[in-house]
Amino acid sequence: MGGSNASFDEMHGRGSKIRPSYQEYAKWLHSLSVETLEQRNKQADLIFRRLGITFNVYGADGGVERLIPFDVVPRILSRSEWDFLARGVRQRVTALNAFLRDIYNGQEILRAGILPEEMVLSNSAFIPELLGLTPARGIYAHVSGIDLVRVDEETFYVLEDNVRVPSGVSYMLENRQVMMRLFPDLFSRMRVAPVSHYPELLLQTLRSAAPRGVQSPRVVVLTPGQFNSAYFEHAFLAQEMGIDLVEGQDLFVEDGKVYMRTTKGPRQVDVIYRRVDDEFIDPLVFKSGSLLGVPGLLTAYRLGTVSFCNGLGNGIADDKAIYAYVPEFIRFYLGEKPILKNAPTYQLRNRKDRDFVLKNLKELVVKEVHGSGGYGMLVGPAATQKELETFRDKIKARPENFIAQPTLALSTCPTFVAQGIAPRHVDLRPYVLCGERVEVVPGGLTRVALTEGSLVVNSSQGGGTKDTWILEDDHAQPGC
Amino acid sequence: MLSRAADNIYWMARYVERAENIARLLDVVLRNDMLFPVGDACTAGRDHWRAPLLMTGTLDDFNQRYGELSSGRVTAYMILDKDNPASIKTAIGRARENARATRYILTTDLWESLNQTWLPLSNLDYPALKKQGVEETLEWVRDRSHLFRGTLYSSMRRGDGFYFARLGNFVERADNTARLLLAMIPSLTCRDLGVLGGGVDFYRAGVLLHALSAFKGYREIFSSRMETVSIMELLVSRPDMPQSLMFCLNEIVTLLDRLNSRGQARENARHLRYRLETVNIPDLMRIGMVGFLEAFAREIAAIANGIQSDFMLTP
Repeated sequence: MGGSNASFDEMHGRGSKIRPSYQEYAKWLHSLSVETLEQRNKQADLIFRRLGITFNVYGADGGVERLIPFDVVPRILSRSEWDFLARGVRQRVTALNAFLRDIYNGQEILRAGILPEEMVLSNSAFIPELLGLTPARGIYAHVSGIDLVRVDEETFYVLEDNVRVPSGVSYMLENRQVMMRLFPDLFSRMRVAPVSHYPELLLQTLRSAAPRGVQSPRVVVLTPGQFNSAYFEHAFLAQEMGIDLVEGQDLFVEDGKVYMRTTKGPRQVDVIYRRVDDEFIDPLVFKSGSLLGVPGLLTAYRLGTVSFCNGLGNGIADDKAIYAYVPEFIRFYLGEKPILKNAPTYQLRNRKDRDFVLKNLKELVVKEVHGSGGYGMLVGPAATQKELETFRDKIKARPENFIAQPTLALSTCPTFVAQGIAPRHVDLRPYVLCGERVEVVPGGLTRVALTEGSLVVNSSQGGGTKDTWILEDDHAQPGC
Repeated sequence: MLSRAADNIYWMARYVERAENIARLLDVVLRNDMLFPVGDACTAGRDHWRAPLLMTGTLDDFNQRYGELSSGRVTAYMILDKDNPASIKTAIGRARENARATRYILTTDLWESLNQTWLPLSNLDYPALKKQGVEETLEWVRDRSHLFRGTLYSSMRRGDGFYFARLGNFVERADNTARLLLAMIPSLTCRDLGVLGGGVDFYRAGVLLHALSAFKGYREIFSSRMETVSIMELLVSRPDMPQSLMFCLNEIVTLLDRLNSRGQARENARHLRYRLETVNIPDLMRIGMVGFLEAFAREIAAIANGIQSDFMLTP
């Protein structure tokens, strides 16, 4: 299904007039030749290679370095659009943290009957070992990525919350660096809100998560290692924050404390910004064969001698089945009206929803509740008859494992492709930091589906990225 | 500093230094090949090309995979072969891998300079090598290595990361200079040729000195005549020649002091430096320079092991 014609366009809206946030840019763009853009595009590629901004693709020959396709046309939002989104994602993350605090302690939300009990208690993302454990400041999700899509001038939906180990923020930062190198004139013409203080805010957030009583915490980034697809990002953030990048083999636990091996002997670690999934953290408790984690780490976490960012057990909050209830969390915990809407969602555990979905499978997107990264997913309009049947059987066998959503007409953004500039579908992931305060850097990661008509923006499936610009209002005070 | 990071940084620098030294070595061979194309009693003709393989312990592998010795084959093997552990491509590739593993500690300048060395090399093949020229390529490798050290020197904070990188530089260089001298001794001490005035053949000595960027230094310090004993003094015990064994040992000892080393490595390094300080080159030339250099290479290996166990294999 094309969908481009029916979609809202970030530059043109639904007509041919240029929306205000794009006016200055469009003027500039039209003064350029296709050749110039072509050449800048190639230059961007060179810069990324030079900087070594690559991600690893797991393959037969043990990992190849690739570039995520980068598009030179930015995605632009006005300050007022952004303020609305930022308030929305802040509210959402605050509610998600309240939910996590509650679900691992009093479970009031279950007693209030807002959420079906079995949806939590029999969910594999819920970790009963952590019951009764409250991390420093009661914060579980220090770094969150909230995936948003736009379908109209006024309508944004939250498509997904990521409160485990969200990635991609390095692309937000590096895309900006590359854009500034490629188009310095544009940045002097337009007032684009800066994003490069993100690592500074991240470090503050991580430090604020230190165990109670620790004055100057030692913070480290824990990576699965060089062959992880997001390794570049782990290294990049460690460098920007000036802290150590450790692997499981660099840490050990003794007397309930975590130490790292240094050239001058063991040094205690207070905060671990872990980019390793829950089930690999501690081979004594979770996957016993894992070499990525550290034996005894969970014990130290339970004793409160070390903090994890993000906390363990967060998967329960961004599970696709739980997702449908987040607006309820906002009302229940914050007593507020949700600022951002959820996409309409069918719970296949409910008979009525199930019947509807099975009848209309071809028009819907079906997602597996524990899947991630676009693999356990059916995009009805793009699916073959065989895929539809396979999913139909899967749904019938375990309906509670699936949710369904209407196929949303994601907005499009002008994108530089082989034929020149053409509209392609985009989403947006702002990053929310939760420490002493809840902060959102003005911008985020815009992912773009480079194939014409495609709605799948994941980098594992042919998606690319764009720089995201938040334009300061002309009449606002200059930021000096 | 994280032990694994120290290990990565140290090896990053060793591999860059190694690539440079392979380039210097191949340069010697190329020049010898041009100066003595039909060979002589000392070098047995085209056996120039055997030297780099012998020195790097790769002769068997070469014979198995490449067959007969030829300038083209050895050049391809020593510069481009990814499966040759001693090739320039392998060395730069490993340097870059180590840098990548620890790039969060390196300055952006340093990482980028190394990454920029790797990128053109990673897809360089033989036709392209011939097109851009073998000598030009070797020169380029030396330049990139100079750039690496310069960037390290001028951009990295004087902290453990910097010291471990410098340590890698000088451990590798000490080893490489010793090996190069060992390989050149037969040709330097050969007297079968019509050597001018009993000294060493001017051209042969010149090749070695050029390869070690030491020609000017020799001229400044010694009389115009080329003498093996003076060359050896220059490259073994002069503390002011950056490629000399003495210079390397001074650096190694200083760096280990900076790193507050209390282990075996520092003791071994001090001991080895003392031997260099007290060595008498003319005596050594008579009683066995080869034995001395071989022992020196073993001592450097022991220091390298000591560095690994003192800093990088901590509990």
